[in-house]
Amino acid sequence: MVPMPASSPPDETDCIARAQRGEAAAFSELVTRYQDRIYRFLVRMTRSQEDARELTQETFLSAYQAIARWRPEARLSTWLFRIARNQALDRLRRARHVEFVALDEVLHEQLPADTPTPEAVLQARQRVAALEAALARLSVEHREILLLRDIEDMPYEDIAEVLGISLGTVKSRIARARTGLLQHMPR
Amino acid sequence: MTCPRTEDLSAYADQALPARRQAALRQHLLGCPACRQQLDALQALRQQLRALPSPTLGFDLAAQLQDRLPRRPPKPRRVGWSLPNWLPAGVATGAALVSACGWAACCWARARPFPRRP
Repeated sequence: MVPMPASSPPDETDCIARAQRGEAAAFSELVTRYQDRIYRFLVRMTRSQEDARELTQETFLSAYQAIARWRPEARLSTWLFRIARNQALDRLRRARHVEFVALDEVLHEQLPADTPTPEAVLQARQRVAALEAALARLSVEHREILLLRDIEDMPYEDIAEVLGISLGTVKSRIARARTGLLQHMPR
Repeated sequence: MTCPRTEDLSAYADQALPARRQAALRQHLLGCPACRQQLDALQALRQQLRALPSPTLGFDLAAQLQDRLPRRPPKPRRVGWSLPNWLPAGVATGAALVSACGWAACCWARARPFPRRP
């Protein structure tokens, strides 16, 4: 696939239409736009970098197979996240055991640059580790909805679309997930 | 106004309540330290989640997928016999009907041979 020349981002609907007509560069552009968001969601859903890398690829392969059926009434982001979510759920269901991978060991290098002292760095790492651990302990149902709301900043309507639930259920589930997460956090 | 449920406080933090309800809750919070404390905890949690490191894939996935994607995305499967895509739908339907009638006529003719000339 030939990468698109650097320019202002093309209108997404136009990009999708061109991808549907078989323009590889247009699909490439969509992959580039969304790959990190999808990976970020999957790595916390599966708690495995290896699984998340593999499932990110599978998400876009599935999207490529199905893009002819995509309609403009659906937002591309919700469509992609729905595919990714289904990939993650399939993987989690097939997993023989739950292995918690300490993601904070990899993520600590991405801590904000404005934490100069070693004590501040240590405290920041500990806060991140505690939150990641608490997130990993949540049920899949609660973890996925918090990832979509508080990390992907999705509005309630889009979350309802991704998860296939009503707005009322989105509202109540987010509240229960947040309460559950607070209970798992160290005091 | 009585103290709201946690569900409403959570939605308030997301500005996801109807405008009137959002305003009513805002008024309640001005005079209720307990609800204010609960809302602060929810908002602090949201901030912490938003501040989590954002892992990236670390490589160009589009380039990696290059060999795994077919040249053109496959078209949706059609079940059964179908006419060429370039025919307009009305023409395609009419052509199918004419074909079906012609086939039926052919079958009827074979079943009833012409009388032999004397």
